[in-house]
Amino acid sequence: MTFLLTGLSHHTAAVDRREAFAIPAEELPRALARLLAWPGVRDGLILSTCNRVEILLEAEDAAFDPAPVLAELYQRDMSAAASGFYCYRGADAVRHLFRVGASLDSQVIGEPQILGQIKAAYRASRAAGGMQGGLQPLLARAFSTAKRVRRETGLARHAVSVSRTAAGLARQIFGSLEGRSVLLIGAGETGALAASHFLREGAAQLFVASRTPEHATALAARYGGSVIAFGAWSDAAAADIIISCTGASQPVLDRAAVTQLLSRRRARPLLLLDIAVPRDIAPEAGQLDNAFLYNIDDLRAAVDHGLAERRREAVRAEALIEQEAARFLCAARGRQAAPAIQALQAHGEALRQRELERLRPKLAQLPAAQRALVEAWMETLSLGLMNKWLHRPLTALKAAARAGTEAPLIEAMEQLFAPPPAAVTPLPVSAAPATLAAEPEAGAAVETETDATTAVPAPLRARSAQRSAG
Amino acid sequence: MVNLSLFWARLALSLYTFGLATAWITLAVRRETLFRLARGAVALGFCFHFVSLVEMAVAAGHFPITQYSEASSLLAFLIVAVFLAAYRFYSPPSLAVVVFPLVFALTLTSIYGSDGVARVGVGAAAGVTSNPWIYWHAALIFLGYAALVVAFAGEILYLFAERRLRHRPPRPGPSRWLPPLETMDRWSYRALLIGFPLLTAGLAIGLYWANAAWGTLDLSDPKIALTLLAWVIYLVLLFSRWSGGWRGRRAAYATVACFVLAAAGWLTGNASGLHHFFPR
Repeated sequence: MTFLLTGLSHHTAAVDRREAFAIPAEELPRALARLLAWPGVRDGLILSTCNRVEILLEAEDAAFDPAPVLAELYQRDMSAAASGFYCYRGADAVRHLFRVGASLDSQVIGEPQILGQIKAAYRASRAAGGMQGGLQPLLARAFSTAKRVRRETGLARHAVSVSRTAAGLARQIFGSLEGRSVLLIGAGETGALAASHFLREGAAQLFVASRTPEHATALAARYGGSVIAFGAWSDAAAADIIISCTGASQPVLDRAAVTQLLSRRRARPLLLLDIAVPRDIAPEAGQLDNAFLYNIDDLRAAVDHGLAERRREAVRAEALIEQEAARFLCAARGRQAAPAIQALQAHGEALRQRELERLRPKLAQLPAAQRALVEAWMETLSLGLMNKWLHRPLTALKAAARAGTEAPLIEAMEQLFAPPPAAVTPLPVSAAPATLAAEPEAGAAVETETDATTAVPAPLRARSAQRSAG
Repeated sequence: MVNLSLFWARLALSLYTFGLATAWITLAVRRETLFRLARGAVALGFCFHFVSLVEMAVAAGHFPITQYSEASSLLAFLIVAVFLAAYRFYSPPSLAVVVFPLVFALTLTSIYGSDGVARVGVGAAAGVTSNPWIYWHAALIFLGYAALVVAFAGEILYLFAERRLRHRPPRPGPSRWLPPLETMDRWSYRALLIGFPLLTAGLAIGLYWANAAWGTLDLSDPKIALTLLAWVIYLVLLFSRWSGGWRGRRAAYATVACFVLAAAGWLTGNASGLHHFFPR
């Protein structure tokens, strides 16, 4: 089994190519069904967003070639188109998935949407039956890694747009934006965009003022706000946030106007966002107590700062990803040895039961009370002996699996222990012969075991073959 | 301080110390769950502190306020009480950063500082313990102080938050330990509103009692002068806030001034002719 991730993203393909390969949500179930029906594909997930199309699958063969699957999915020849598709295998695929989930591979690194998109893709895949094997724990770890990165680094903490910066500042002043009022001066698109962001974040009321009343009316109608006359600022004293973005060459709000507003507000704090050039709000107004003025350069500087901070945090996030991927791969390798371990344990248990069954008829000679006691001793003795005998080989096997060096050990164990096929289960108690005469011959057991050498280690063989191939 | 009471007080102090350390760590690593631990430790310390005070009162046979150690222990206790009450409604961990060190210092001095500062009493000795009003006087003022401490903590945080908002380039991300500006402002105002009547009543009782006992009020007594000055600022501050003019920086500075005066009054306690504490 191996993980394979192929696809294209904004790093490798322009928007027209991403469009061409995008798989819309309504076609996703069909695409997943096709993917999962492909021979050699055990689990599969398709992530299609505007920035990336990625297909993650668990293949039975380490050398699995994804090109024919892609051709099947897109119903076209992928040999030429495939040039833009990257392909990660094994540890690289795990690492890439973790990076995408933690939003390190995003266009705006640290943006939170991608995790939700992967979760949606995961749900779709699970519904289509694509989460039966190794992808389930892989995705679970990708989600927990993303959460850890969010929690332990500042990757998503820094605002990287002017609107978000403004909202972040407002939150530091007012706590929540719920129920706040916004005054928008000027009916330009930039200002409207910022104002609408505040409304989306919970602001309750919008006042609009413009030199051209029709513009103000149109904008107010669009966002459900109310129009106030240009210059009649005291009508909007309820506004906690003022966004100014006019084309005026002289300040629209001077210090006196802001002072007046503040006194009308009984000195409740006022957030002033001046996104106009030349500036609309007199810089001196920013020195007033309870007035917090930011101009466009301040906001842009914060955005630049936020981007720089995110890049800095990304370095820490990468280290976390590396750590989590290593941990996951180590655990996955440990899981890969599970069939061999189970086979060995089952083998030991089968031998034990058979030996017990052989002895049981001899106990019939004993009085009932003693028989129960001896049977209990036999049980304890055989179990203890078996566990102690298997302890070291199993520990060694687990440790080797974690280190990825279990193949020679598995092979050695096959030769040394020759576990029987899984089909050979201990004899049911009822079938046990009740008399001494029915003692089974030793030869029968030996024969079974000889068969086992070739038949059983199927899972073991497959594993070691794959290892040596990889 | 009596032995048994000292034992409980030390227990309380160790829990406060733990709470203080945990609160600082909380802010450093931003784990809200950790702060619950800090608050729990302080709340438990508060219970032991109460036992300590009761032991003290039982041993002394009166309200534990006549010695410096008793008084500072009581004040620390009341500050924790107000803090915990405030926390029930809303309180960010950051408030603890200002409040816990004060509580810690007061409890510490109540345990280890008592011997050094006790001096022979003269003025207030006459009939102090027999007059119940002295206890009301002190208890109300102490409660007022405790509220003032919380208001002060809020305003200190306010000043930091305000400074942060005026920083260029702006930092739009939420602060690791500072709550929103308006929240702090609202909290300080509430604490001030609660503290004022308590402080006023305590002072009024003191004035009345002093008048009845000595027929005069010694304004040159530093403790009385400083406390009255603090009270006047408090009055002006509260009135201006109420009438709408003062908020923000100015109100914060006034609250800090008020606190500093009150704290100075507290610290000059032993230089005061009327208010020094009994020797052990």
